[in-house]
Amino acid sequence: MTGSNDKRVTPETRQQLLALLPRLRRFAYSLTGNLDEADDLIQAACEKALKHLDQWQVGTELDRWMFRIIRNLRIDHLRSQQLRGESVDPQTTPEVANDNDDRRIEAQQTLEKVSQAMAALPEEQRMVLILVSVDGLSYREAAEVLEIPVGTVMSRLARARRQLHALVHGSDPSQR
Amino acid sequence: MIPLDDETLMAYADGQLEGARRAEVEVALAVNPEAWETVQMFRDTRCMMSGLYDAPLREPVPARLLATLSEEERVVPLRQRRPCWYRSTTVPWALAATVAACAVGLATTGIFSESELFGHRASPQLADTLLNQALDEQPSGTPLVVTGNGATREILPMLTFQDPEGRYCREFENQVIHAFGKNNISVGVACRESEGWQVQAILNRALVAQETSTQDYQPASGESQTSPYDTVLDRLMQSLPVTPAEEAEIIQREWQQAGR
Repeated sequence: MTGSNDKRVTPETRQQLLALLPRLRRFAYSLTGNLDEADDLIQAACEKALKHLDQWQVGTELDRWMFRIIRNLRIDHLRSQQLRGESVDPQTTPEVANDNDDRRIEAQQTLEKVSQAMAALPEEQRMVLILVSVDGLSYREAAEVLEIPVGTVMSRLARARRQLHALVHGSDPSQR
Repeated sequence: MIPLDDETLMAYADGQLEGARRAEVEVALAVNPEAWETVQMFRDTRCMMSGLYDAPLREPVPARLLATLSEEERVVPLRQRRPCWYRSTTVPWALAATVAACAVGLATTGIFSESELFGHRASPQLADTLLNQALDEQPSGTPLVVTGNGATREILPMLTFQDPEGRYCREFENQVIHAFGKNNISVGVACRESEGWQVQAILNRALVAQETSTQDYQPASGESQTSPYDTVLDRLMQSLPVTPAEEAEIIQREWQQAGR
């Protein structure tokens, strides 16, 4: 069902987008590892969304549509870097806030390891991991965002998590 | 018997299996400690990332993003229509400024309250505690600086005047500097009511990079649109600001009208 293509951006839609901003920024940040780059990505995505709002089917989830736009822009960006022969910087690891509280140091160290491990994962694995583990989407919802079958989401996700576990705990990921 | 492959075990760990299949897996797991370990591994990796990417949630959404979604879609180059007596501020007012409408309660840090981010032009809002304190106590030109939660908030009352109704009003600058080096500056105008300061309008400015802001930015000359902020300010501010001496006296009186 396509519905009527109403190009007008209603105040309700703007409100919804505004309310989504924190989540969208977290998603973008998890992809770029850099707040400025994340905000550039979000800005581009918002502009694109407002321009192509007629492609959003009212009644479907706005968040997933936005995630998809962000993901596509990110992939375009990475591709254009590759085409220009620039080295693709996988992802700078996000800054983990410094905290001198002794009790939190261990948790901090684990988080830093996770952060490095995430940066080492292939982009496609990282994306599915973020959508499910960070943003809490179901497999089906993640499949909708990534435009791949649910089965593919599950196998990618399982592989990514084995990999992550191995990198963080230092064992061989292929070992079952 | 159901195959205990990674995908199935993961779906079980994530609580994404339906009733019958779920029960089947549970039975199979009971006799398979190795598979049970795999389930634990998937549980472990599910929560591993919690908090890792939360940095953007701890700071307010930057004004430039709000501006992208703002209904106004109006970019105000620089404040140009200042009366000649208008006090020049210490802030380099470069770059685009935009009134961010409908930003109510988007993001908060400890010292950056919700009312802080609001953009209602229609209905004035009560100032948050810190803003109230600063407007009550600080002479114009002397900022109130508070640090906490990885951010510093600086509120600088700029001038004091009486509006046509006789209320005392102050224009102030509000700046939040984050540990990440991000700045969020806004100017606002608030008027003193019996219950405290009511913010009448606020204008957010995104200072994207410090270097840019120190450059001498020439606003596009000629007719610029009047921002809703300026409209409010112009309506309120139809008299000269009070002198520092008068202001000191008013602060002393705790903003009571002079008894005549």
